[in-house]
Amino acid sequence: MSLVALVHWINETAFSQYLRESELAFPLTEAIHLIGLGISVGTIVWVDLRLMGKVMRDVRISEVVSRLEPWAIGGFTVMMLSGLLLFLGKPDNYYSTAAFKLKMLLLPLAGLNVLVFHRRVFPNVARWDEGVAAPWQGRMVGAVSMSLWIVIIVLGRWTAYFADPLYRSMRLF
Amino acid sequence: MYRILPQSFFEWCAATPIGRFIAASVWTMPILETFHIMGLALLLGAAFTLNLTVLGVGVRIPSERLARQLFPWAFGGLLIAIVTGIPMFMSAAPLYGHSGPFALKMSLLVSAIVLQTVIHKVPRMYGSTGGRIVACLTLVCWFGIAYAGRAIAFSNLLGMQPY
Repeated sequence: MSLVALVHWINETAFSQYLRESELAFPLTEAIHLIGLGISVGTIVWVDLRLMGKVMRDVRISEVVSRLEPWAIGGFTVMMLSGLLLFLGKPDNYYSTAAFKLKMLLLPLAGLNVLVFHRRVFPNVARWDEGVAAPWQGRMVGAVSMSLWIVIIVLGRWTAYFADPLYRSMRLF
Repeated sequence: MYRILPQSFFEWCAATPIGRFIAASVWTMPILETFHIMGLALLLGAAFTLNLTVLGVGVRIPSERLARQLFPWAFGGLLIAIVTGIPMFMSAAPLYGHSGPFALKMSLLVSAIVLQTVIHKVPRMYGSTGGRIVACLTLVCWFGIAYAGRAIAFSNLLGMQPY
């Protein structure tokens, strides 16, 4: 089964139909997705900026990471689950937009960035914990994370626009 | 909001060159909304991080020091949201003027700013039960803004007519 066929199969399931036709399910999921975004990206940004030495320079880096990361993970879980429901509601629609596909390619990169941070950078935190900024690897992780999230937010918003029948009918491309 | 401001004000907003330009343009609204969301992420994130500290579950530094450091970023986020929000409002002002969720969103915005100021200006808020209660309320307001914002487009979220 090709990916397109699979996406279309999901689109035709009763659950998918329920999600997109329900008066409440879809808007509510969208609102939860947005709130999850505020919590996760909102906290990730401060960890990134701390690594780059832009905020809270007088706070130990490990303190910022350990205190904010649980919220970032919690918010991300909310965002991922609500995002999955949004996709299940309109799979055909979303899969036909370039913005959505690009977003799905960038999300694993954001995950990989976190993995690199915890495997390669954070274990040595004791050496630069009190520093103004992390060494270049840490600053890089922060900059990559911020850039990826900005692009992911843009693509997320555009997915909804380009999946909208009104915007599709205008033949933007 | 049409109960507070005259209908002519909303009509004037929509008739301005900016209002008419956005209403007629395909691209301007998505671009404005994209920046609006990025402003929101920055602002909500700063408010969330700050109030976590006031609640005692965030970064452990005195909250006034954290507030001073986060304020420029939060203010920047708020500014982006306002600068992009005003033209979006103008493009369909008579609709927004009659929207229940929009009026709620604006009330929550004012409440959130007032409550956040209370936390930082009233002494002994940090670490006290009163401070924690106000911080919880403030967070409800900040995130309520996002929820009410979505409800402007979907009446069922708040059980009100969107327009």
